[in-house]
Amino acid sequence: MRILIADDELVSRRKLRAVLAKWGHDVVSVEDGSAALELLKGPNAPRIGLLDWVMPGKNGVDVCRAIRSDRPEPYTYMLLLTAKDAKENIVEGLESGADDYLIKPWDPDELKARLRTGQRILQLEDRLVEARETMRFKATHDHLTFLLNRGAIVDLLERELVRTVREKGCTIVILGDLDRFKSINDTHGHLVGDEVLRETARRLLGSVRSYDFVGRYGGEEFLLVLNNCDTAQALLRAEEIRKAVAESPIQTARGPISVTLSMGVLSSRDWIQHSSGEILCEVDAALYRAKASGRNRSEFARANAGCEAS
Amino acid sequence: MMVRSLSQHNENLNRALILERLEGDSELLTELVELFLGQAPQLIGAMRKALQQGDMEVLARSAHSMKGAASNFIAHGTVSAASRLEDDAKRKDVESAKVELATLEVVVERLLTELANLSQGSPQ
Repeated sequence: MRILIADDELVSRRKLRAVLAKWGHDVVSVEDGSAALELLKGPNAPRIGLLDWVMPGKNGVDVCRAIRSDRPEPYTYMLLLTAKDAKENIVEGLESGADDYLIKPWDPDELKARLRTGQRILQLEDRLVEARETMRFKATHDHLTFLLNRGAIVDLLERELVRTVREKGCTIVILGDLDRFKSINDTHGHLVGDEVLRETARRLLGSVRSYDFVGRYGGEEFLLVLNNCDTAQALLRAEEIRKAVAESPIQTARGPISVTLSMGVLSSRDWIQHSSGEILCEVDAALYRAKASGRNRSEFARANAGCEAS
Repeated sequence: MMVRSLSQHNENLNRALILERLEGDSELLTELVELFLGQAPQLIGAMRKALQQGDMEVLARSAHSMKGAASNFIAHGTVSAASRLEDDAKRKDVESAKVELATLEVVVERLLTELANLSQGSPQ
């Protein structure tokens, strides 16, 4: 475990460092509270801080207060080391946000036991954070393709529209729909249909930039939100995406299956006063035109198609 | 200058107990003693200067450091003398601080001698 020790007094610092290293910990030691705070808030921060109470400048209690008000993640377990042993001091130390305290001169067995408690709490914290992140992922992603789900990609579109207006940029919205997907399901079964959806998702992700977003909008509908302002570029990007899906058959349990994608393409530059609902409606109308004019192609949402926002 | 009764100034350091708190590492003990032998005269010097200049904050901090350092050797005499000096400095009681510093100097002097013997492994 990576542990920070902060003590302005040389002999105590050396002793603590040596004993912790002997127990296999990775120890960083500093002489004052400001340096301790910087390390605890910095990258790859030690998870446990052993802080002397009395130090010049920021003392151990100041460090505890600053860390607790700043709440860096993951949680920092802090233990105050103090020669003070009056009851009110201990209360003040714990109220500052320390998890535990140890009276100096400390006994190694006691320190070891208290560090074990700290590690146990950090493990519990880690498991909680992991569970929370798993839930967060599940709540925002489609379980079949692992793309953003409909709720998440629409939220993201709304955020991007607001952001690009503020930053005077624009967003390209592409709504794609796999052509004749129903017949794949009907002919080969839903498991093969699922394989096709997964591979299409992979190809879509592979054909956009790392800062673009791809979501599963409906059954075989995909919504892409790209950062770009150039209308000509928008159509080129759509063409790249179309090719990425169509260029080679998808290998499935029932053999190779060729699929194509029809797309509606829209640039927010042309629809500045419009809500995300209206924009989705317009891009859907453009997608419909792409389907109507032969599929495996994209249509640009240029003029108001008279689409009514749902 | 008056100092406290000198009979209580021998620390009678307990090598076995000190080592037990260092996980039995006698090399570490030697290293800590060397650090203290270098640090203690500096702290005493800083305390004298702080007292002359009436800087009670530095005096309190140095006394606190001496207390912390000596506690690693379970040197009760030095710890309590430093603790009394720290309290005087915090109360800004210059007269009492003068007495306590003089006492501390004597106690620390003996502690240094005892420590020098201790780290060479001579029985206490």
